Amino acid sequence: MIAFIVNRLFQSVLVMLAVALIAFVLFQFAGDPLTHLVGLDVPAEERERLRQELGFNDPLLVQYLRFIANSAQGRFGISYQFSRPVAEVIGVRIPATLELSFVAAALALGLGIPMGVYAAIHRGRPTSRLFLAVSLAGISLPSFFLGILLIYIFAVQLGVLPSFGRGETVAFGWWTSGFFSASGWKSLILPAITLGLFQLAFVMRLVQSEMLEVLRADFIRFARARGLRDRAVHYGHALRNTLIPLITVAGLQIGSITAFAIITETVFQWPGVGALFISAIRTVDIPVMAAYLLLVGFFFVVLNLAVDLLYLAVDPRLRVRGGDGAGH
Amino acid sequence: MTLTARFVRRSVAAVSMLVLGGLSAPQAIAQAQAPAPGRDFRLALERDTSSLDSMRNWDALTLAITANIYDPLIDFEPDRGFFSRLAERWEQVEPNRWRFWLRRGVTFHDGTPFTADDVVFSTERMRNPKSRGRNVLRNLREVVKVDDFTVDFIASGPDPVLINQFNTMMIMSRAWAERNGAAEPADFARQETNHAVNNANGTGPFIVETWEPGVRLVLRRNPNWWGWGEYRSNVGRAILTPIASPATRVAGLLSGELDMVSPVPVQDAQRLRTSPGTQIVAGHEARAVFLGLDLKRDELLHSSVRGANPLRDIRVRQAMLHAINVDALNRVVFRGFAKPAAMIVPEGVSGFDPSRQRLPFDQARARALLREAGYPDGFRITLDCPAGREIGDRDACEAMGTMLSQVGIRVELLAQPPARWFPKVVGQDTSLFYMSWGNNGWAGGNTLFDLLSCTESRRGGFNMGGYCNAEFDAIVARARAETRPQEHQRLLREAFDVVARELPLLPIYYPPILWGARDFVTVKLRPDGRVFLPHVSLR
Repeated sequence: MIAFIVNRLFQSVLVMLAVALIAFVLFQFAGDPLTHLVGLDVPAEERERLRQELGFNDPLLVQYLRFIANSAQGRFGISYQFSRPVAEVIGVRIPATLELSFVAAALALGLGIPMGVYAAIHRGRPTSRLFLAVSLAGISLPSFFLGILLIYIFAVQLGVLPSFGRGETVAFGWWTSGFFSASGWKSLILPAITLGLFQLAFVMRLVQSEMLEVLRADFIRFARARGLRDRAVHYGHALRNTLIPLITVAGLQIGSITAFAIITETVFQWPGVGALFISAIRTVDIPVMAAYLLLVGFFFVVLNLAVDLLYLAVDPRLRVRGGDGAGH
Repeated sequence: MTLTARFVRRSVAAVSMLVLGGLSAPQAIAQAQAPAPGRDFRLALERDTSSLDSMRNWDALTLAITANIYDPLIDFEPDRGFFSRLAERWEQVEPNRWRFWLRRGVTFHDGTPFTADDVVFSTERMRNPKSRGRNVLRNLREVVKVDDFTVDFIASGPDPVLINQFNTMMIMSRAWAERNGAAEPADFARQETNHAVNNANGTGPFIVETWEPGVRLVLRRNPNWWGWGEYRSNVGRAILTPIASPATRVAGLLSGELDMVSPVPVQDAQRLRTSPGTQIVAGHEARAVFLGLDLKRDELLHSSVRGANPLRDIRVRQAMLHAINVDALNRVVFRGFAKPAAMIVPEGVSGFDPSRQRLPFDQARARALLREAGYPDGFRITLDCPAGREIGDRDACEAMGTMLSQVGIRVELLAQPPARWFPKVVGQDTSLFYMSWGNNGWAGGNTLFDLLSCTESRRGGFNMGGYCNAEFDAIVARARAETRPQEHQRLLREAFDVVARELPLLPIYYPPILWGARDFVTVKLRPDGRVFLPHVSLR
């Protein structure tokens, strides 16, 4: 088990080096950072000197190696747009993103799984049909549109929920939380729905189809023959067997909720890292872009690891095969 | 359902452990201080300020925001001309020497009194090699303290406009800066930062309460500001939120969560104007949009014409101006909020003359001119345009492209993110380009020098088209050194006559400034687009 984790961590370093390299190649197309950094009437020779000193004139490989060397020492530079250390700029915004994605994921799993199970068990009922219709809408509505729509209805027309921001936050050390104030919760609702609806629909459809599959399996028939109650059959046997594919997909989906809450955060001006990334692209804030991409790379690596470990927990066969009997 | 419920419960528990893990004593971020007298003013802008030190980050937005926290010596609004901020009065005592008499009894936000030492210090700080704004002072030889409340600025040669950009020089407390290691600006090029980046100590109307970069900047009224007798604002606190998405900005205003937003997308202006509870504050920005042309190369880089540069023929340039129906462009792209331009400088800038006329829209004339110039079938050319740098830039380019195509100049539009468009155009890798120019110090001579003086004789500047006319350069040079007002104006007129005759740049329009506000807000719109909070009142 330890060897497995160490091996994975080693792989993750390679993945992140690759992510950084690709990011650096892409930065060449992002444009000239100085456009936003200095006023238009700063003369050309001054611009040239700045570019030289900021190292934009060095070969790509040199810039890349310098970035890797600095990052390894925890130095991510100073954000061009906010004039503060990148680690600080990102650190301050991580809680907002994590809280939003946590609520969105809770929404997706907490509603998606039961809805999927229901739709599978009670095929053809009007409620099931309604769930499927909702999920179709959830899959097909682009999130920027959904976000604007929700803002229009709940903020502009009804005036009951805020259209932007995070409300009042409470600080625990460096972590700021919106979970402890009414305005914080109110601000969470619309973005969480916008971000979570697609995942909810996705989870629901996945659970439903997997469940239908499993319900046809022999062992379910045997379970029924044993006279087990429906409840035990459905949740004890059937649902448990749909979890493996669900974990795989949900793990990655939740990863993308967190990493790519970009559009939702921009629409709601949610002060998280996604909105930060967008504004970094707009202003060619290379230190922030580079650190963000590394962070996302790291996040996915960790998430994949967690998914692998969860398999072990859910599927006893893997544990036996791995020769690791602990947990029984 | 039990398994699901258990799963959820467990995750909730896990996360609350995580949250509470790093727990110290909970404290509310929103500070429960005694409410400031006056009202809260909630303003949303497109972006946040880059820092609180405009000498480190000398961009328009940082200057606009810090001008509410710091006072410059003087300020400018076209209807008032130059007016007093920290300088009570000023005079050009000799052609090379400007004397400033300072306000007495002014204190910085931390209570230290303001004196001439702070002015000398801030001027030297602005001239520091690490300062991004030091070009403003490039003609300054020396700054001299005469007494505690008098300062002399000595130019290196006669300069009628030496002080014109002094409204970008924010006066900082010397004692505070030195105590906090911010005596020189943090060097942006070396990725430095210092105390003055995140903190401020000026004499201005507002005091920084909190700044969460990219989230909100909260400013509190400075009750001791010298100007409250003059400016009848009742803003007690200003909460500035950057909101990048235009639709969200407008929604926040409509729902009453914001009192004012800037900018408003053109297509929403009419709606805000007619909706109950909201209004549009519209004006014209002191900025001119024009088309620039490659006048230097013998063959254009991005065109179908081989072996010649059609743009060097004045008839082709005239044809292009005749082809553009600027009224239609204004109506369609800007819903009438822009203003057609006959000059490359906007109103308020010296040398501006409202009586000048554009070449009229006349497609037949345009075609005839092209025929005369030897291009009866027109030609193809690429137009470099920024997308999203300025209001309506991309749409205006599309409209101009279509109009030019109608007379035979087939425009291929290359609209790019500003950060890609700018280096391409400044690097002169362009044949035809959209460009706009505000004002540097409201001095027409500066604009002419920066945009059109010959690049053969000097490096830098923004003469991307490579226009080169020695006679014109001589007139501009004389104007820029002429301190007698009438003669200065005459020389400027002469220089602008050359521009009107030779059309090295094709003036198109003055873009609008569109602010959306709740109807209880009164605000004075400044053509430089700065929101000056003392101009804001809430009913």
